[in-house]
Amino acid sequence: MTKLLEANDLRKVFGGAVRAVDGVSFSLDERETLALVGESGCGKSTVSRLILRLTDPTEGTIRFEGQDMGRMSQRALKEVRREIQFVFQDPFSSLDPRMTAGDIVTEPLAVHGLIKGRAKRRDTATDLLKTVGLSAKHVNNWPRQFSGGQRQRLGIIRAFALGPRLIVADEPVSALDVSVRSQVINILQDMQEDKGTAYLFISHDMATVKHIADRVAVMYLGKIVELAPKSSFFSAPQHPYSEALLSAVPASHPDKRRERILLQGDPPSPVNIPSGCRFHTRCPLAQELCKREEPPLAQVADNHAAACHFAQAWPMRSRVADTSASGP
Amino acid sequence: MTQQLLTISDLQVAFGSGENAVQALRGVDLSVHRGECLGLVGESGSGKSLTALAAMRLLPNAARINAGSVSFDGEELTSASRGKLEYLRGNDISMIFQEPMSALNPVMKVGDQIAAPLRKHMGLSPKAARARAIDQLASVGIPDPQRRIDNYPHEMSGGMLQRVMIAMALSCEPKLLIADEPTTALDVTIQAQILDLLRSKQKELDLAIIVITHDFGVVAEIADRVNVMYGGRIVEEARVRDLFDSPQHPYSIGLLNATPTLEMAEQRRLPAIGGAVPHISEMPSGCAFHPRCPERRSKCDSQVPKLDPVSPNQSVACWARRQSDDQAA
Repeated sequence: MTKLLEANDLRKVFGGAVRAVDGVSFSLDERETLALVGESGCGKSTVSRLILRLTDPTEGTIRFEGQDMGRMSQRALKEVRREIQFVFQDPFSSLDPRMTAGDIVTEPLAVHGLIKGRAKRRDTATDLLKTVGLSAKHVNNWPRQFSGGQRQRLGIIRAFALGPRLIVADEPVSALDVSVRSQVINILQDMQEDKGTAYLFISHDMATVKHIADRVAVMYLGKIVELAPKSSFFSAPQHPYSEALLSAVPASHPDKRRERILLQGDPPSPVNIPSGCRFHTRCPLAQELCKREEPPLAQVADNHAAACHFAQAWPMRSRVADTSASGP
Repeated sequence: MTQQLLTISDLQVAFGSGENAVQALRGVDLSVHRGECLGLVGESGSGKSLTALAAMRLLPNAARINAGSVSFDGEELTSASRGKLEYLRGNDISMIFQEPMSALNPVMKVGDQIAAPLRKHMGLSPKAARARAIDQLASVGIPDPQRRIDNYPHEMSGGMLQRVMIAMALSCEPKLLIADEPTTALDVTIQAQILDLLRSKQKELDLAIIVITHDFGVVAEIADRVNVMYGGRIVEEARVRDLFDSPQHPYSIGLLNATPTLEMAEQRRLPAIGGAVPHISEMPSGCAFHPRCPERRSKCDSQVPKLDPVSPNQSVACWARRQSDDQAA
């Protein structure tokens, strides 16, 4: 079966030296949510820019419904762009301050020549606003008159306006206040159920990912080091970096402070990627082999891949430590 | 019993004056005991950072303290002289911020920045201050401090810079450290390191810490007690375990439910709080949370509820939690 999206050995080198994305392959099915997680500088946002074709890959291919986007004509590419839309992190800088809400949400339709005339545009805008809990009275409002959560709703409508098959959402809720984050996450999920859209969901927040994703890909220094269905990822992560990331998530209760797997120092620079396994300089389990040989992203269980020489050799430690005895 | 180190009572701060004045803090009461870590939780515009700035008398020019008192270690700060304040800041109270990169001087070596307060407040010689700065860097876990001391800020990562900030803030052994979103700009693995460092420094130096955050995860990791702020007031005050076990204010309950966690059971939709955080210029009357509150009563839009104890270690400002009043009304 043809996948909705297939990225194959994507590479992006900036300035000849910065290997921001260093051989990334993954695929997405229709209606699926794949979360791309990792820390700053791991290359997850560059991957999203490559998928959106906002920047061209140095090497590798992206196929959308089997067609290589790198070999498409400009015209075909414009068609594909209708199918792939995006939601950005910052709803304050991603909306034109001099366009009304109605114009913002209908602009994609107008650009692609799908609606004509003020009256039609206004009616469509009203319908669209209603889908995310806004109303007709908001049509002529300016972005500054909306709260952060409302602005992100406008961004979501704009993304869905052309009926895309895939939406790339780069940290879509991390700039929002905690009390409105869950509203926006719910809207994203409702829209997906309603329209059958697939999401490439980029996030650093493991708890949100656990809620929203079907599969999880963990990136470290430009590479995917683990790729697995959500349930097996969160119950039995196979890469030590994934384990460390999960152990670093703040506790949900003072009695559930986790036993941390502390990583030494900071991630190395993508200019100077370590030999062998790129995680070996910080890995608490690293052996001689890890310095010499780069482990491939290999199957370790059903649909569960990890790039670690010792993926199945290490017993998983219990992550939740009961610290109730240490209180005052 | 622990002794109170910082006591803020009925603190009111406004931006501007006269008819255009915007009330940002509308009667804040809070206290910090010696050696404890207090989590001050709230969303944008709740007044959490402003409370800290007012306590240090570092308010921006447009803001003024209109009423209330701030008492630190027995001294009233709202009327303290400039000289007194300068002595206290650095010696007894210090502060770290969200963005260590913008809080440090980019053209000054980190060692010199750590040494500056040591020379000013402790009267150390340049040589002694440098030696002490190296010790400080080592004590916050920076490897190779002899070499790192001559680094400029741009030569260090965000996590390391936050360690430098902590070293600098603790160099004169203050009694109180105010940490304003100290890990928000950092990656999760680095956040975990910094929270561990703050916790160990709290124990080692018997340091009181106010951690200002929007993240209940940070609170669960580090705080002994919590104050929840909304609309320029404290709406709930509790021991950290009590807040997580039985939050009382509808806002605290809503926030805790709306925060996804790794332990949370699989559910299709997240519980959400309706509406949006009000802007400080459009603060609702009465209890500021009333337009979003699922437990709203008739008097909530007109009368401000006071912070009242519901148990020895927990207080809440909510009409729905006052059974007797409600029956009388």
